[in-house]
Amino acid sequence: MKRDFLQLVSERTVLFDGGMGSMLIDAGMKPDECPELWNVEKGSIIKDIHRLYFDAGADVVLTNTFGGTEIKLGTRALEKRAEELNKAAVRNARSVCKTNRYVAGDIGPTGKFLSPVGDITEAELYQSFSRQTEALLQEGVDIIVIETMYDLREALQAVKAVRDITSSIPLITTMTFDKKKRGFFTLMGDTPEKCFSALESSGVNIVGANCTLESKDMLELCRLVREKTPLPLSFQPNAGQPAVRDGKVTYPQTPKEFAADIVQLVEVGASIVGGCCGTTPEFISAAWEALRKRI
Amino acid sequence: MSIFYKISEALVKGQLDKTLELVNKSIEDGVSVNEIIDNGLSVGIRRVGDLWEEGQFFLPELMQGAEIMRSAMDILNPHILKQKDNTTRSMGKVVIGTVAGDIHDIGKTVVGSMLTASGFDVVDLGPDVPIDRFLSIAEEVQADMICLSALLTTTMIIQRDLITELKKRDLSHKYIVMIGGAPVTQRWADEIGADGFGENAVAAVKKATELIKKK
Repeated sequence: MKRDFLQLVSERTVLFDGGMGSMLIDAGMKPDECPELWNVEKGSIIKDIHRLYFDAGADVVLTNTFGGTEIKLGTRALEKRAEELNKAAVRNARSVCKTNRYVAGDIGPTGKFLSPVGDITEAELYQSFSRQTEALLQEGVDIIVIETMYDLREALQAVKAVRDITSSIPLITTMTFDKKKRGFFTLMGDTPEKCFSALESSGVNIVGANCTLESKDMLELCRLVREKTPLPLSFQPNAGQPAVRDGKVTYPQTPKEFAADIVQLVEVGASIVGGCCGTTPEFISAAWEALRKRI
Repeated sequence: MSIFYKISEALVKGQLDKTLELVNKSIEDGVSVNEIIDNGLSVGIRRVGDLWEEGQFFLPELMQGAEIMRSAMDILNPHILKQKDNTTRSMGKVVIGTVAGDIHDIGKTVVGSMLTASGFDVVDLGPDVPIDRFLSIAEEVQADMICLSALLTTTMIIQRDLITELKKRDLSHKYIVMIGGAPVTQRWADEIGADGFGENAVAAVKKATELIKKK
């Protein structure tokens, strides 16, 4: 039987996968295409990406369901296919998952904002997250990851949606923070301390940060919050800050530089590490090599 | 404490009801509408923008400020129309949207709200707007400025395409074109011949104000 995930996290460093979006663009996805639709229409490409990450040494891959809420899919008139697309995504990841590796159901922000920025309601967010969670769970994910959340209130609706359905599934929630003069804040102005404490009391098992920050700043954030929360920490930095060259987005870090920062993150107290935008299987492979003794 | 200071303070603090109450009281007391706007509301909204740029305020405070400004202007507009020699206070007419193939909405909405709060007449076309629609609406409303948002490196090309299309139709002289969005830089703006670029919403409003005065 597969080892309990939270048990594993308490015993050793756990490695997550890297970016999905940039891999899809490299595989030919156009900007007006819906990434989640590829779970059905180009399932073999999705499976190949998951397989590359497992081969690189990732313990966990995230399903291709970042935009899989009905609200987000609704911007492309695909809301009626939410259940189908989420389920297909889990099947794709499951089909290439090795023994003792894990599939995490990925939940991202809806893209709509609560008042005063937008006019979506908490009840609408809750319902959308709830439906996505049901589909992910029905198809058998091992973990749920709520990620790239810029509004704590939205993250808490996603957490509530998951926890109202099951109290047993390991639940990770990572927020995205900006580095400002006065410290780290979400887009809405919430501090990491405030976010992590609210998430902890809502039943999240592991908290952390992903996206927006490069690994150097992520390291500073990790040092800052390590003593502030009793929960294990998870960090997925970008491969540096994106820049545009010849109309194509590029990330400055090499896999080796990224891996060196990942080791530091672990030394400072991260239990789970992985990559966000701009990271590829090469980055995860380099991180795995660098972390070998700890994995 | 002057009434203008009270109005700007209430706006900065995000107090909608109090701001509107003070604006209504000022009108009853016969304070000039222009002064309420210039010395009260505008001072407040600029302060909100500055605090946001400094990292003291965040998106909710910025949007709340813009919303209060809009509500206050709804009260003031009928009075502005009554003034005989000052039929309009509009800074200029702006058509704003996110380019085709790009559904990112928030940055563009914030810029639109801040432009409205700063006295521009804004037509927000939403996300995923084709070039033809930008141009036909700009023509229809007789816009002074077209603002194009693009959040993807793959869609920012359309900012260039729109400018090319304007040249092709010999319409370049008619509109100021401003661009923005996460991957957009001053270098890109220069490369494609855009008139202006805003690093963020507050910078965009400053640039738009500067450009419209030159027009």
